[in-house]
Amino acid sequence: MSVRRLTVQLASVLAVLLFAGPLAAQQTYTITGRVLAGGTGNAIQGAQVLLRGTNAGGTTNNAGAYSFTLSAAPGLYTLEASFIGRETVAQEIELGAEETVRVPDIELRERALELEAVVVTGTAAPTARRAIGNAVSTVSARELESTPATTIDQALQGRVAGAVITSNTGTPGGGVSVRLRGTSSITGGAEPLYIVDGVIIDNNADQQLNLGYRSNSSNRLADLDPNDIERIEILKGAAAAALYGSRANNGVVQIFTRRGRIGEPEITVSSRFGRSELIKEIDFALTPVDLAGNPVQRFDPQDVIFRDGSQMEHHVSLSGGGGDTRYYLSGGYVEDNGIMRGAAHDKLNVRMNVDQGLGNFQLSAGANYIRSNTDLVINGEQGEGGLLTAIVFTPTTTDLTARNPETGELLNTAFVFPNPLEVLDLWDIGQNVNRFVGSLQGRWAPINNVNLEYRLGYDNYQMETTQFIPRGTATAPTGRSVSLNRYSTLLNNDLLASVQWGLGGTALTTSGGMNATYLWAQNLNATATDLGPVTQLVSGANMSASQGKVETSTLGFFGQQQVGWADRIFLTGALRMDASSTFGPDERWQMYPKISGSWVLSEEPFIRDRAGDWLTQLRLRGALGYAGNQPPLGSAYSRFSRYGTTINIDRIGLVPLAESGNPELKPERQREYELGFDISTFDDRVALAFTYYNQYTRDLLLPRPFAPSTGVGSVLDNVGELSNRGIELQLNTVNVRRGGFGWTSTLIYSRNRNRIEKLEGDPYFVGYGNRIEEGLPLGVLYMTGFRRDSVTNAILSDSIGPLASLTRVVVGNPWPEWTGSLSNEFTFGSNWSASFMLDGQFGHELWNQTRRIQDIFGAGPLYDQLLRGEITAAERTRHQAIWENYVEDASYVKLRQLALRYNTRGDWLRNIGASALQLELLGRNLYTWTDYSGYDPEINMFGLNTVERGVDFAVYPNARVYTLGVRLTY
Amino acid sequence: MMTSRIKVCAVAALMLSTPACDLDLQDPNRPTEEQVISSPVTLAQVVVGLQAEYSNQLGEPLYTTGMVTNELGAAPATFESFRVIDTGSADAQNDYGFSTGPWSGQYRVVRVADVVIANADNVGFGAATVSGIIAIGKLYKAMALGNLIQIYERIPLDVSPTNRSPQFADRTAALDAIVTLLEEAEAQLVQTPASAEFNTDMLAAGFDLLNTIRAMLARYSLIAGDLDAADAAAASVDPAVWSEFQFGASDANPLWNFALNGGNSTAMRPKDIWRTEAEAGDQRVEYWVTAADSQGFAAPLDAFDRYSQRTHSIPAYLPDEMKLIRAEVAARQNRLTDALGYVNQVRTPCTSALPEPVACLPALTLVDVPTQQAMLDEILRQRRYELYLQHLRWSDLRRFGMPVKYEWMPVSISECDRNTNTPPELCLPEPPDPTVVN
Repeated sequence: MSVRRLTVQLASVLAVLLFAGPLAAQQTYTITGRVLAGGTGNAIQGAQVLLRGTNAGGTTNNAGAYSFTLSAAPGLYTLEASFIGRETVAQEIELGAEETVRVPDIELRERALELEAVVVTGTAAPTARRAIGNAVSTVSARELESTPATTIDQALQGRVAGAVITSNTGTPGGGVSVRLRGTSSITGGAEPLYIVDGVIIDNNADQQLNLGYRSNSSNRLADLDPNDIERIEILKGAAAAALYGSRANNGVVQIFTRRGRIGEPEITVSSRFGRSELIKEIDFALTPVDLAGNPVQRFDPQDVIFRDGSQMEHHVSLSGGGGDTRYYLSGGYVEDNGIMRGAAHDKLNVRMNVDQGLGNFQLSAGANYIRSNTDLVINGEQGEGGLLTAIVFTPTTTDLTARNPETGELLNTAFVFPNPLEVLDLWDIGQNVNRFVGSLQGRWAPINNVNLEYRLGYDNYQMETTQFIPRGTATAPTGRSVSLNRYSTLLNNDLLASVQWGLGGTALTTSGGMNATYLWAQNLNATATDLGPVTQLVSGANMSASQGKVETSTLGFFGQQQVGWADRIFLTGALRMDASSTFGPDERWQMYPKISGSWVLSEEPFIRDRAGDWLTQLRLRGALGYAGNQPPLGSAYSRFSRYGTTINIDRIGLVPLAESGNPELKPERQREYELGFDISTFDDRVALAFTYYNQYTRDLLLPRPFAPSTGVGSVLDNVGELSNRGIELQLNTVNVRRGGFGWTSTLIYSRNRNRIEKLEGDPYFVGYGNRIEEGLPLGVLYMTGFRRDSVTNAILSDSIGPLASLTRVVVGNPWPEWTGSLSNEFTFGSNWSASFMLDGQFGHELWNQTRRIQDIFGAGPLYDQLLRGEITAAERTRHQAIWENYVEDASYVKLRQLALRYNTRGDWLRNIGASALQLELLGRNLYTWTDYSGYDPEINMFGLNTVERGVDFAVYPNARVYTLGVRLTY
Repeated sequence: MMTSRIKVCAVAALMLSTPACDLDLQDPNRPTEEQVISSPVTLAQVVVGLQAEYSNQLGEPLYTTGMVTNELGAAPATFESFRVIDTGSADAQNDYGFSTGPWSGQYRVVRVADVVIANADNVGFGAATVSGIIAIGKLYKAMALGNLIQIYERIPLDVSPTNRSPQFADRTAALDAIVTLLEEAEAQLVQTPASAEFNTDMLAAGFDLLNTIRAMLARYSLIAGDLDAADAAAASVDPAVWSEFQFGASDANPLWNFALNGGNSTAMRPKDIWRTEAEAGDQRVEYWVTAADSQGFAAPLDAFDRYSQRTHSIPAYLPDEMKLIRAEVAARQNRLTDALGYVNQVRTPCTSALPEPVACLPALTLVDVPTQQAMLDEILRQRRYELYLQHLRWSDLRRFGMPVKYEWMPVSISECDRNTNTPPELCLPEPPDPTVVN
């Protein structure tokens, strides 16, 4: 077919669509009915009901009931009811003379495997899961709701096969690190790309210099409100993510927020109140003697800094829709007073999502405003003002609370670090964020099966971190006031076009598009010392300021062709061309191809006939793809050889930076293939999804150090290679569904093996000892170990105690060998439901620097042994010098969450104007099974840092949380 | 290809797009080398940067020599490397700051100097300005290489950012290269004196270019063993000129910065034997140190005087070095009376119009120093007290055949690892001489 003819045909179809009027006599109908859970007969709330061939439909309320009106010509229609995690059921109805049509109850059975669910992420056009060759994880709102987590990434813990999700810190508002299928970079970012409703958002973890540097990592994903989330789709590797080009090496997480549905306006009001507590206390040296054996008083400093925390969360939403308009409005407020004194966080979140249909054009707009305030407590490596840091550095003979009875001033202030009470009393450290995320999408379907879509995304935030220390402290005798500001804008443009067509018995979907992303960020910092009176602002006799800006821009084009035969065999091929300003002009344009296939074997006659009822569904899938990774923002200009300023007797001069430019800089490039199958049996009650993946990343960006005689320090270069291989397994079962009782389980298992395949130059280590060496996993713990016999491997000792190794050796791996989770959900009748989840990580080590510092400074358990005369002073010194002594197995299992819910639609609710009430009791981190001696084995002190992991150094621990919640629906 | 990209971009731009299509984004924070070397304003700033780089990097050669020659000692609780070097232990490693610091710092100076020399005539400066720039570029390159050749046995000369594994040159070739650079710089400046533009806008305050070039020519000719050239160059230096590296409100004396600023206050201090072994009444002692007699790691220590403040300048050379060079040349040529004359010119002054140390010691006669060896001993003693902490003591000890704790510093581990032409024998620390005590 020539292009000209196609155009003419398109135009005529268009004309018909635009100008065709109503053809038959219309009548108004009201359609009502109920959607219930198959087996248990419980009401399903939120099920979608649609009359095929019309725009009309509705959503079920708490009673499972729906009702909508439309005008239509009489005749036979098909009503379709669907709900996530359940089968979709179509029911014939007849619209006749009766104005009110009562539809019989529709029952939707739970399915362990959802081949029909539609996936949007990375597919160019919405595609049924059966047609996709790569594993896509989805997490529903229902799963997110059953955890009292205030951030999305916390709520994802234990939900996604192949993901290692670790809290960086328990600080209220603190961040979480997410690694999908291992780490595939050394200097670049290793966190996935985050997308909200089609728009890339910023997940920066800028720690703003020296206020909590390298210890209090929060990332900007924490700004989003989990209450607004409808669904999350997770693509784990290059094979799935090729459509995101040079930013997709680490996978893609797409978050869909709630949108309005056609039907009566629905208002929900929910509140949660929680109490949090320290999971456990660690051992301090409290034997009340000194080294000479004389009695002394010793103090447990944990009493000084920990407390019981409290949480409060309120959320209001209004949603609905009529005609061509749908809307969702919400407001949320969270307040979290942490388990460490002085730690507090509050966050206000306002969202508006509006969808407006205009014939075959649909416009969607989303706006999200976030404002958060955090009272920071500093910990970890940051000594200045650190609370936990201070107490592990203080001998237990010190009474931190002792005050001069006359002046009330603290007596004990001069230690390695300031007295935590001085910090709590006098210092003021805070962080506030103002953020707006907006999106605008236009979708135009000029004719059937042709879709054009444009998306504009805008993510803008300002973050300010402040520190105020009044005059008169040892840390800053003349006082200090600091204001660190980060401004960031991320702009995102997407253009997509797709056509669905056929050729004989073949279904074809052709799509193409482009994407342009622009990021602009600025740091503006001001500091004052020698402060004036009263004001806490940056105002003093001595002031300084600095500024830095960065811009990056990425442009990409892609095309994709999907072919389907008999709705059973699908092949998809895609190609993306991508360019980024970060890279040199000659290497800028990179091509990322992908190909994937899916074969629904169970629908092949030769299988179906033999397997019979035993096999419900079976699908084989496989994918091969390439994606890239860009260096972090700090290297946005590494392709240039640049000069920095210097001073010679107050005159400004220029000298070359130690880092020289690399005009041939290009992205890290990953090849991934994955193979897997989905199978469900026993009437769709047991489903297993299995995936094997193999990632190989080349051109890793590393600073290549030069011989100093060149005058060059280093050049960022594409020099390394590493691999990740692993399997993911997910078993969903519907254990019981009868007599009002339902029980479903999900078991997730995943393992990953990471290996540095090639490294130019010598192995090295970063931080305390995360080794980068060819043939080893990335960042293994590399520290002074026990000296061992080279043959028998027995630890060598002398008369004092064990000997230290002569050089650093590999003493542990911070990456778990495998991770797993088990979730169970129960429903009892139509009122009660319960769920719990266990999750764990196994076979990895943490270096407990907290305990080591305690021991060195006369506060730890080893020192206690010395006080009790169990070891000699020389032996103690020996033990402290061997870092391997402090490397501990960090395997754990956590009772991550437990939820008990009561739902009612009692008539008495009408008296307060409500239609449904839900009461819930939730618990998080209720119990931890672990041999780890520190506060919490789930610690990742360096946040999103790619290589530095496995170090526990006075990190704010995660809390155990009990929450009581109530939700009213009107 | 390019135009089609632009067209697609234009389409996107129409749709509310952004600067997103510009993929050639420049760093708004810093200029590129291309920009810097193509304008007179920025190239002048590189000339300033060269001088800043040298004065900032000067601390490491000064304290390396100081620690190796017992001018300085390690404080009681300090870095392991300071303790090892202080005791002369064989445990010295080539990843110590003593090995890596001077090596990388001085080669950074060489890199900046090469940029200045190569581009001086490309940006439209007048001949007299170009002359000043080339002269200062060559002087600083020579001084940097000279600092290196006093610490390391052999060094690469043919260096550039693109030559990743340069060959090492032996000492004769290195000293030849240094002397040649200085001779070229002097000839250049004598033929075309530097312009006022250069002297006012680029040359650092307090620094005398021509006399420093000549002083360095004297110094390195002497180290190279060319006695006549050393004598001639020393004679050409104007004794009434004072040339120094100054520091302002934003930069700092690097020795002060390392030894006294911040957390390094415990690293090192003057060893008190320098003071206690001085001739009675030598006023130069107080110029440099304040008696303290606090216990250090291996020996009692004094306190800094001259470098105890961040703005204390460092002499580019001390004028009396020229007299001592002439004395040494005379002594080595067995002209003992001439030598004694120069020595007494150093010993006897009790005041000076310059901010230089004065000994105020009695004059000596040939009865006091009757032999060539006695004269050389006296010259070495005068050099020890006149040229304290001038990064000369180590090469003095070598030249006068005295025992040294370490013959040379091993070449920086970074060079050994990355420059495939590094002679392996330069990478290992030499065993210390066991006869040296203190």
